[in-house]
Amino acid sequence: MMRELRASIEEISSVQVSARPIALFRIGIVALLWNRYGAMNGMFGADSDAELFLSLMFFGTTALVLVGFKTRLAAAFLFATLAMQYYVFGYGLGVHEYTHHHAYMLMLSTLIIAMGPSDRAYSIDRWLAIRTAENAGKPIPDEMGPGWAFRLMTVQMAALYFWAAVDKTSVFYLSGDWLARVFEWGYAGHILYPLLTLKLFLITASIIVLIVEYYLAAAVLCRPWLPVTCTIGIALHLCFALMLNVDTYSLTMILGYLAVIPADRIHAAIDRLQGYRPAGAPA
Amino acid sequence: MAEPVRPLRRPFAAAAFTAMAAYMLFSPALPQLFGTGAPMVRQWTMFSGVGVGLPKGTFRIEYADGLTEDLSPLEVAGMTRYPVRRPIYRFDGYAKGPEGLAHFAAATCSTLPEGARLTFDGVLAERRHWTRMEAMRVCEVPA
Repeated sequence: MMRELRASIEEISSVQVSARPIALFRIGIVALLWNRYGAMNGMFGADSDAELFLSLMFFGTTALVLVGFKTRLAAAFLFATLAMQYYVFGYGLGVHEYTHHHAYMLMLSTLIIAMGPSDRAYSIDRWLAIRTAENAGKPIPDEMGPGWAFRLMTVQMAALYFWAAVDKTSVFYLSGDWLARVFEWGYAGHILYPLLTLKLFLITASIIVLIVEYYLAAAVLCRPWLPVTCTIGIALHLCFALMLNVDTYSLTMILGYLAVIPADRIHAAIDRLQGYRPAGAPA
Repeated sequence: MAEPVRPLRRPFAAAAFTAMAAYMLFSPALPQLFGTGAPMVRQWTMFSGVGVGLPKGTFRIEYADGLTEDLSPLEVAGMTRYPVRRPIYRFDGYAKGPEGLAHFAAATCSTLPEGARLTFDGVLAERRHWTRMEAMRVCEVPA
C-alpha cells in the first residue's frame, strides 16, 4: 500500500505535461475573478487606504495573470491579495462575500496557477521565450511543465465532493426536507415552486445528487470513463448554477475539469482544432 | 531481498503535493466530524444554512370582531420573494432567537389593528430538521 502510494506521488510529482490546460484555466479564473469582485474592488468604491491598496493589487495582478506577463509571480501576488481579502477583509472586518466557499475556491485556484506552468502557453511569457530562443538560434521551447500543481485541483475537487456528500448523508437530506428548505428560500413565490416542492421530485433529486457527489469524489481522482465523468460533473454544476445562487462556484468547478482530463488529450485536441497534425500522422 | 527505495526525483514537488493533498482531503474532518475549525479549514457544507429560520405554513390574523384572514409567510414578511439575489445569505428577517416568528412577521405585527392577533400553524426550517410550530400570539415577544 505504502509502496503504491509512494509510486503514485513519485509519478505525479515528476511528470511533465502540456501547459495548455492550466493556461486556459488561468484565463478562465481571471474572467471569474473580474465577474465576482470587479465591481466590489473598483477604485471608485475604495473608502480607505487599505481598500485602495486592495483595488490596485487586484486589478494589477489579475491583468498580468490574464495576459501572462511575469505570470507566476503575478499569480503569487494575486493569491496574496485574495488571501488578504479572505482573512483580513472577510473574517477580520466581516465582509461576508469574501468568505464563501466559492471565494475560497477562487483563492486556491490562483495558488495552483502560481505553482504550475501556467506561463508556458497562451501568454506574453511564452511569446518572449520563443523570441529569445529564435534570436539565440535554439529550438522553440515546448509548452510543457510539471503537472503536480494542477493535479492538486482534482484533489481539491474530490475533497469537496466527498465532504459535501458526507454532510448530506442523513435521513433529513434523503427525505427531501433539506432540499425543501433550500427551495423554500429560493423559490417561494416563484412560478416553479409547486413543481420543485413535490415530494417525489425532492426525494429523487436528493438521491441523485448524493450518488453523483460520491461518484465524482472518486472519479475526478481516478479518471475512469472520462467522457461520462466529465458530462455528469459539468451537468451537475450547470444544474446548480441554473437553479441556485451559487455565484462563481459552478463555473470554477467546471473550469476544474481541465485538470481532470489528461493534459496530453487537451493539447492534442487543440492541435487538431487548429489544423495541426502530430508528426507522422497521415495528411 | 527487498528492493532498495530510490530517492524521489523531485523531492520538493513530492513533499508539496503530499502535504497539500493531505490537507485538502483530511482537514474538512475537523469541522464536520469534531465541530472545530478555522477560516482556513473549509467544511464544504454548501447551502447547509440556506433557508434556516424560514417558516412554512399558514399565518392567520384574527380580528377583534371575529373575522379572520389567512396569509402566507411571504405575505406576512411583506415580500413577494425572499431576497435570493446577491448578496446571498444576507437576510436578517429569519425567524431566529427568542423573538423568532415576531421578528419574521415584523411587517405585519407593526400594522396589526387594536385587538387583533396573529397566529401561525406550520413548521420552521432548522439546519437538520423542520420544527413543528403552533403559535397563538406571534407578535408578542416572550420575555
